[in-house]
Amino acid sequence: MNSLSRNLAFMCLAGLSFSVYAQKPNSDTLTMDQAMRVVAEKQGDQELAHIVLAPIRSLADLRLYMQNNPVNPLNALAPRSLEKFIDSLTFNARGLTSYRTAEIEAELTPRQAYAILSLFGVQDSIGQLRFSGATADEVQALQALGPTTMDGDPGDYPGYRCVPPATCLRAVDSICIGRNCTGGNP
Amino acid sequence: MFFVRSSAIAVFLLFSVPSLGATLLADDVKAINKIDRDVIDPKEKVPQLRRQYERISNLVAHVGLEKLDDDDVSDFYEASFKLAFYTLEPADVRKMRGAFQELEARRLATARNREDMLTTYVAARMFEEALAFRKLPENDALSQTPEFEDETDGARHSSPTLLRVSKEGLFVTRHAHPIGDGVQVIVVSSPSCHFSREAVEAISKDRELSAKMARASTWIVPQENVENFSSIAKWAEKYPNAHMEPVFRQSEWTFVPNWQTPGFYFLKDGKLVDSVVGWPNDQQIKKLSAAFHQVGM
Repeated sequence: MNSLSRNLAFMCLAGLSFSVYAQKPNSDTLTMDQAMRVVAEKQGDQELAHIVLAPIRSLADLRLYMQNNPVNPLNALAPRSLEKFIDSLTFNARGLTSYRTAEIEAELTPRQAYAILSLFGVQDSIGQLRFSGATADEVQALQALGPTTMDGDPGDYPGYRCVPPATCLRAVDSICIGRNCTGGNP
Repeated sequence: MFFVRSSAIAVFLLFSVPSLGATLLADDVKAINKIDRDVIDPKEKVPQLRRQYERISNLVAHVGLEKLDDDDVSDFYEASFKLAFYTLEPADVRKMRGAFQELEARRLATARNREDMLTTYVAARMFEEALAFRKLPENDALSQTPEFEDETDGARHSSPTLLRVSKEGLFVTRHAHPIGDGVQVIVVSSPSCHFSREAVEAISKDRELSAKMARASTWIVPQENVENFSSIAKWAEKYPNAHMEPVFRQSEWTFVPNWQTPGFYFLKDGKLVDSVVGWPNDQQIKKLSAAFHQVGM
């Protein structure tokens, strides 16, 4: 099975679907609310594509990845911090549902963090993190990854973890990946 | 089988990470983190965390906090924060402050640690301590802390209490919320939770249900780690029909079995009759309508 078929099969199994934002409303008559909805749907689809195409969607994937790539972005974390990060990961059928943020924020540059989070397809959640050592340009870039919805919903939720059935529960030093948190086990 | 496989993988992963220099508290704090990750229900989590914390606390007392190495002090702070975060007991928050002070004395305290200390004070409703902490010069960068007034005069009430939030979220007033006869729907919700938002928007599109909710519902927010209540003030502007108020203490709301958001608890004459928890999709509307039917409304 080629990778495209495998990803489509995964989407069916996991109950994922892309929005039909292709059915665009007439741009001449678009209200601000409709326009923001189209933008939000497009962003949601992009986030979903990142997850579907990510190399790591389970602990088993992570094990294989680390075996096959001894030199990898995760090595940017100190060994003690890497252990804590790996210990904190929770997955469901869709992929990563939450991860620990403290060491990423304290030890890494946004670029290093982006490389790690991209392995899990959750690089967009970086906009919710606050880095101790970010430059002004990096801070600006992080802000640019902020919410695109009218109500400012970031899509990922620091200080929470994902708990089925589709609820938020406060949690220490964790970020809930909203896109992955609508079903399955945490 | 899945659990066994996952555990085996986790063990493999830990051994595949470069070997770590052993510190005094590393294994015990790892155990705390494992409890936090694997035990979701706070009723089960808190006693397990407390047992493990007592073990750590005894070790620290035996060795002496000042003699711990920096990694152990960071781990001790982490364990203290976890316990305080989930119990929200003032005594545990003070232990967290003790560990924080050691971090600070060693210049290890980060901006995140400072924010966590402040937000834990607010979550535990230790408003005086929060204000005093915020006023320290080294905490200048933290957001403004809300001022607190107690309309109940601190008296013990048979009814639970809520915090009325000012327009900017910087002033809160504790007031009683009597649970009387008839039908009441207590909605546990949060402005930070997109499932709560989706629920409000779906309900507002159903004319009959939104009319019933407007008559019978009270939207309450758990004790959350926030610097102030500005997000609740913003929510009130956007969703006046789902006006949220934070609870003063969760323990006063004895009929709320858990604090995941959103949760809809249907009471009749003060007794819990039905509940709808979570918002996976708008099919929950049917469950809410059925629950209203169940309580005769």
